[in-house]
Amino acid sequence: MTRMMTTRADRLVWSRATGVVMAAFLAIAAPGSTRAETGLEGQLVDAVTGEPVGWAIVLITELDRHAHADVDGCFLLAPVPPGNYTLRVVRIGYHQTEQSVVVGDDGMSTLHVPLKSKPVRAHETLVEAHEHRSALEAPAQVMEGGRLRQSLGRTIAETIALEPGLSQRSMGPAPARPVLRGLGGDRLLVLEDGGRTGDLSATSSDHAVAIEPLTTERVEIVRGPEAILFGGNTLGGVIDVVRGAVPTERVDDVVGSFAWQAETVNMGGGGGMDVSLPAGPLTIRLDGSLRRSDDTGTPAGTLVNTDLMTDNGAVGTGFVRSWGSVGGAYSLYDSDYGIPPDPEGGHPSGVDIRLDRRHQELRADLHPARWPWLQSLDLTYTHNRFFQEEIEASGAIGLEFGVLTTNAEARARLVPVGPLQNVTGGVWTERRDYKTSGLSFTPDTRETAAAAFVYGEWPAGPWAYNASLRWDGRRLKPEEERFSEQVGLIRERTFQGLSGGLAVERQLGAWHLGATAMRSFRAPQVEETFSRGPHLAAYSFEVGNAEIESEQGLGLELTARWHSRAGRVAFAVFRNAFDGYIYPRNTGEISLQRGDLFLYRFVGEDALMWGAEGTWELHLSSALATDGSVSFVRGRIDDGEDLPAMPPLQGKAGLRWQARPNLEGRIASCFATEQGRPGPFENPTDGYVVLDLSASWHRTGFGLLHTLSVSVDNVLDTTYRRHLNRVRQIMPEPGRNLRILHKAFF
Amino acid sequence: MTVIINPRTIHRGALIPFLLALFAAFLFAGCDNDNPVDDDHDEHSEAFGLVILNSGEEVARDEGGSVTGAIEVGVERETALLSIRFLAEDGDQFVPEGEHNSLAWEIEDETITEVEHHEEDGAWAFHIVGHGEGTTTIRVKILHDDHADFVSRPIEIRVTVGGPGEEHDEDDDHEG
Repeated sequence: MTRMMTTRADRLVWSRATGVVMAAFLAIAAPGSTRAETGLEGQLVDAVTGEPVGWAIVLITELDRHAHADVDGCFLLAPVPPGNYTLRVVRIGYHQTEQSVVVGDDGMSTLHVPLKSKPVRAHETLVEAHEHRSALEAPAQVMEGGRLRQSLGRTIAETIALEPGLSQRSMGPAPARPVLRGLGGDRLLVLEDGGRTGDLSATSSDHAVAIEPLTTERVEIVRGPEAILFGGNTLGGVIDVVRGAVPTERVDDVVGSFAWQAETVNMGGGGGMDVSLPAGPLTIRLDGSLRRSDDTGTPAGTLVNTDLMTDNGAVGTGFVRSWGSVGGAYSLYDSDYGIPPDPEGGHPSGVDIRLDRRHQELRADLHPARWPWLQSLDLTYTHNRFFQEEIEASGAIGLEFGVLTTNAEARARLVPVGPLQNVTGGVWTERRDYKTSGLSFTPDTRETAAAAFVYGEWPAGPWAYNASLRWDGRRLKPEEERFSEQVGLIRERTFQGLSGGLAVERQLGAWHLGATAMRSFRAPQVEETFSRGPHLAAYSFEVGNAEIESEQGLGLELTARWHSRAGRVAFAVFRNAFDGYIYPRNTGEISLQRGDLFLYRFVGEDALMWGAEGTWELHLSSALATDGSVSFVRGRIDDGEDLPAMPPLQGKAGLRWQARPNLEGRIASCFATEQGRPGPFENPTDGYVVLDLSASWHRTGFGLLHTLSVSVDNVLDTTYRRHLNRVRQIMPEPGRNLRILHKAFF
Repeated sequence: MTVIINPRTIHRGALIPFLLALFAAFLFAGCDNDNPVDDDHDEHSEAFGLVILNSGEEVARDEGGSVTGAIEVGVERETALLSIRFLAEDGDQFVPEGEHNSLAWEIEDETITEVEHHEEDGAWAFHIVGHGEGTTTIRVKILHDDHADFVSRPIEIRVTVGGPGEEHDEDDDHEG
């Protein structure tokens, strides 16, 4: 009864909190003038032929506002407050252009923007920091356009796996999650539209990321001091999957895209679409996708129980005015997937996992005229309901997880303050209600967390500095206090700490030399602190550690980047030292309660990771370019043992050929050396070289812009295994795979 | 907090209805505010080992991560009634209570032996029947509804010609 009253009281508090947020929207949204609507309108044309160029994205970088040009190349960006802005135009087959524009205070400003077609397409994916603005401040890498379509996989991890420094932790294809420089789980945030996903993918290798790649607009990877804006535990970085569920642009016509994808290695495919509709002063956005695939084929046979079914959809609406935008969205994500059987892991028949995520969000992106010192104020409220059940081969439910996550954030960006630019500060809160059922002795736990952060940049001639500082506090409150022989005294725990970063860069001609220092703070999660119970899908019996302390990291990085018309080259060396690195250590013992499972115990030990990374993109001729990357990381625990789940030296090298303005071919090789330094109870993994081919083509037809990407992965059907795949002993990675993706924009 | 609204500046008065509709949609979606998992931790049995008894005499024990003893039976014979007592974390013996708990087992090689579980013998006792000569193992489980709360380590069963036990009656009621 007491608990019920507490729950009702909590709901009341949060309902009031929502009301306060809404009232804040109302209060701040009131604009300060009654002037006629101002904005930008214009037409995009081919610089040589003068023909209209349609289906381009037109972006005002300062406001993070964009519009789509229609089939005649016409675009409308309104309302936009009067002022000086930078207009960027991005279109497949054309050079990205930027120009300064002025929005007057007496109505619409008209533009005529010529675009130059390009014989060799500059790489669309690698965009330097501060060149692209989104929900994230300054993404270091952006994956979008043709590159995103060519790499689009069944999961986000698979989609970005070949980006520099990235690997994918997996346990069968479906529950893959990215790992950056050896840092995964909770140390590498995976966000959707800049917010928490509310799933459990960070806690275990059998838990999937609840994001569908097909409805993804772009993927941004943030590292360095900016990453601290999103979490204190982001030494690895932040991966933001931009879906754009809440419209922040006003459309004057129906715009959108549809796509279908098929692949042979699992006889699977999927389809999806997104549509934005004008509805008076509102924009309504709908998206949805379906994905089905069968068991994955490998050169050594079929990896059974790796089928996947995913349904995903969202509806959002936004009210866009000169003072900004206000909107909300609701989305659903359902996925059924299999974990392959491991006869030696106490899991002879595999496990099926069903997960269901429902997401609500309210957003306000405001540019209040009454506060000239404030460039923008972003208010966000999200609520996630996540449910996951793990079903044994008999049909019995082995384990259930239910997590309610509510986040609220206010983030303000100031106009330049003296020499400081992009000064951003804010507060963030989280409430998390965690429950398990089935065979789990983890207590129901309520988490509350709060953070305050600030970030700024200081360009000073050839020098540039940026810095961030963040305070985080988190409280874990189990339902009841009790003692467990294995876990310890389960009671309320509170953690708090500081994190931050400082980066400096010096330009020397075409070279940029930089140094970054980062400090991270990470409070233990519920699973790491109080869990106890078998995790069949992970082949383990996990025991938490009620005495575990927070983890702190100190990261140092030196970078050198060279950039000219001939291309770009970048190198980095890094060293991340952790005080109390938390991980589930395989004890090598069998659980007393489950004699068929190994016992994993969470420990916090000092650890050190270091490595290097290099990337290049060079134009060899007017039609030929090469790109690639190599990365290496090594991790050791303080006692000298190698850390588990560390990728070996790995990389890729590719050659791109622009056969025609709308046709590009690519041959690439992915490789990894032997991982001969496995962690405790891990086995070494052999090295490999895999050959991939791909081609992309685009043209207009039937009033649509069509793009087609055809790829053959693992052309030679090579048998290879990735070290971070927990079922690598059972079956190798997928064999030859023909993938086709057709996407059309309207 | 003071809410300042200038009606003249609101586009066709659309902002307020829009925000109210958005807010209403959130309240409507409030059904997502209940955690989908029902807590049933208290009903689970926490066993850390077991003892198998034959007429009160210990035959095999799984405790502290190791197994001692083994079950012996003759070919075409069945053991006397074997009672299972589970071990709590402090070593106390218990049998699980409640209708959600039941006994289950897993025989490694069912051509060598099988389990006979008679209703009248109680929920936590069974017979082992020898079929063919050889050695196999049994894992004893506490089944809570559909999932195992406890799984023992493999306990050896030795089936020998002329081994112990009573002659097996094929017509006897059994579950196996």
